[in-house]
Amino acid sequence: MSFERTFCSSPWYHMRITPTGHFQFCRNQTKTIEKNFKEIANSPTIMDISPIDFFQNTMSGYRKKILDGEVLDECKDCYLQEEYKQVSGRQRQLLKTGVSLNAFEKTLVSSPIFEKFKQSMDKGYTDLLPIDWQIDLGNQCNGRCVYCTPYYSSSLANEFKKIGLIKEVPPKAWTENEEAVDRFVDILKNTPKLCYLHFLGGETVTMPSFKKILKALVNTEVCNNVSIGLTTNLTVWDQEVADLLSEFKEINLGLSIECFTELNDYLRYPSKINEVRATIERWLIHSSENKNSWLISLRVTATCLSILHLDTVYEYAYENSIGVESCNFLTEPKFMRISVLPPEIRKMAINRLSFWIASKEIFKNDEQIVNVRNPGTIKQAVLQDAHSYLNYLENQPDESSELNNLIIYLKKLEISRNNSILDYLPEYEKLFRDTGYNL
Amino acid sequence: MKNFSEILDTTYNITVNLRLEPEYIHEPPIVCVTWATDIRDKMYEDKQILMDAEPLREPKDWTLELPILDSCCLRISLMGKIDHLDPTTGIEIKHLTFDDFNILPQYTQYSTYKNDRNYVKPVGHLGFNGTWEVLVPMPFYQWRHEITGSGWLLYQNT
Repeated sequence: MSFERTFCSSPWYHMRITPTGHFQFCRNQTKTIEKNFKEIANSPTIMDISPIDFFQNTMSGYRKKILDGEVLDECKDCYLQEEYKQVSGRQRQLLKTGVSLNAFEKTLVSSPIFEKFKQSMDKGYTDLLPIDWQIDLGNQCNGRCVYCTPYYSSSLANEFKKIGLIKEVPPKAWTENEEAVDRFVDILKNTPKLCYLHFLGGETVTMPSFKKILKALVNTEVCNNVSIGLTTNLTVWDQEVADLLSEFKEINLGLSIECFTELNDYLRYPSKINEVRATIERWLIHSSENKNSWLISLRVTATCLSILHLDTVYEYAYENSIGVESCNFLTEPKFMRISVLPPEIRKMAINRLSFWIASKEIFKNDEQIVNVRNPGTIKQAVLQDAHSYLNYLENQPDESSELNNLIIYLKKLEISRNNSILDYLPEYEKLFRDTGYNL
Repeated sequence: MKNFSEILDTTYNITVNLRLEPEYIHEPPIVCVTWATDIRDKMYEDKQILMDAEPLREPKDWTLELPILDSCCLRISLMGKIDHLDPTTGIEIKHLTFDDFNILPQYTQYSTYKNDRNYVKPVGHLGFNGTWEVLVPMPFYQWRHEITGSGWLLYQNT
């Protein structure tokens, strides 16, 4: 792969803290969580070293490899997105430093931090500070989404343990350590030009540590200059959180949903689509009533179970002029990948998506929109995202050998939940029965 | 495709293309065109005069090279027009491109036009005596990032 296809500026300004307090160099790096939750293993935690030390020194190896043009295994999710013309995390991160792929070399040398790239050439060191954070607060969550893992949902962890899918629940969240949270907040307060804090749960809105960090930053200079990002599962409303968010410069709010049909109840168990829809409308009203800037998008985790109804998300987003974003093409669990679908179901999904696209698209814009949050091009960005799934459906190699594993997994969950996928997705009945699914 | 070291060893310029077309029946427009680069502190003394108060009888093209990190300013003036002699006299800025990026008509609002009629709407056509100007006050690709709504640009101006 060429330098242009692999270079990323993210490690010069961004880092991530995982639910267990481990540091990672990127929010988009391929998830490496193993079933026994021990993974991330070699990465230090906030209890071990300062994030600044990790960022400036430990991350040097990544910066050096990136400048040397190496293909990183941790970046393969971004490479896959770009293969299907979905805007990748790499492209979004590059854009924040002014680098775009349509004039790569010239935008690179024009970047405000080009001199900092040069500084890192020798050993990868940088004297910059992380000003764009992904902060995973922990797994405290009332939701049990079928594609999620215990690492991101405490409710799912308890259910998995009960039905024998895991032996132990994941370790405690780092945010349960008050001292670690206080130390982290101090670092944020003392970071000049701090720009963006993106919080993930669990369910962010209900997490005490989320409120604690927001409160600590409100009434400081930080809140006037920093944008806050968060994703919520739309099952709860907390007026205090909504009011705290209104104090910050800008909010990027991700609303998690898979579709606007009752299938969403099955996928994002135990949510109810009517309540989810009402909560979306509440956020839309709240954002419109506040003076600070709100960018709202629907966040999907498209799987083999939701792809047939994905057009309902695009329709809602298009009609309400809000974005649709997905972190990547889902790779884990493997049996939930869209590519698990055999040709006949893929064809059905392709037809539905194509039909929706044709109903909206007057002409196909070949120029890729990388800033998918630009309100001026939001509808084109929604169409662009739909096209990326169409590309994926049409071209990603078949992995239907995973169907058996999908059925085994669903049956275990359904016994616990007393429900059936076929009540929500009758289109899959023949496929699933042929694969061994029986009521 | 270059690697990082090769990019460091390369000198990059931006190719600027300008085409002006005259509009007249009897009297061709008298035109002055100046081009200045590296205009920090708004100093324009070192400007390059591309056309010095001459009649523009035919369409005319210029190709300029802008160092990649330089700011720049292009000024086009229409002079000495007497309305009652030839009210149609004017200049059409047919195109102004920086590499492949066309400023007109999509980004006309980033130009100014000071004229003797106090006509202030953004235009790509000069019909009154006055000076049309486009100022790129920072490296062009950073400016493009801003005017195309490309989102945050971290560490700019540091």
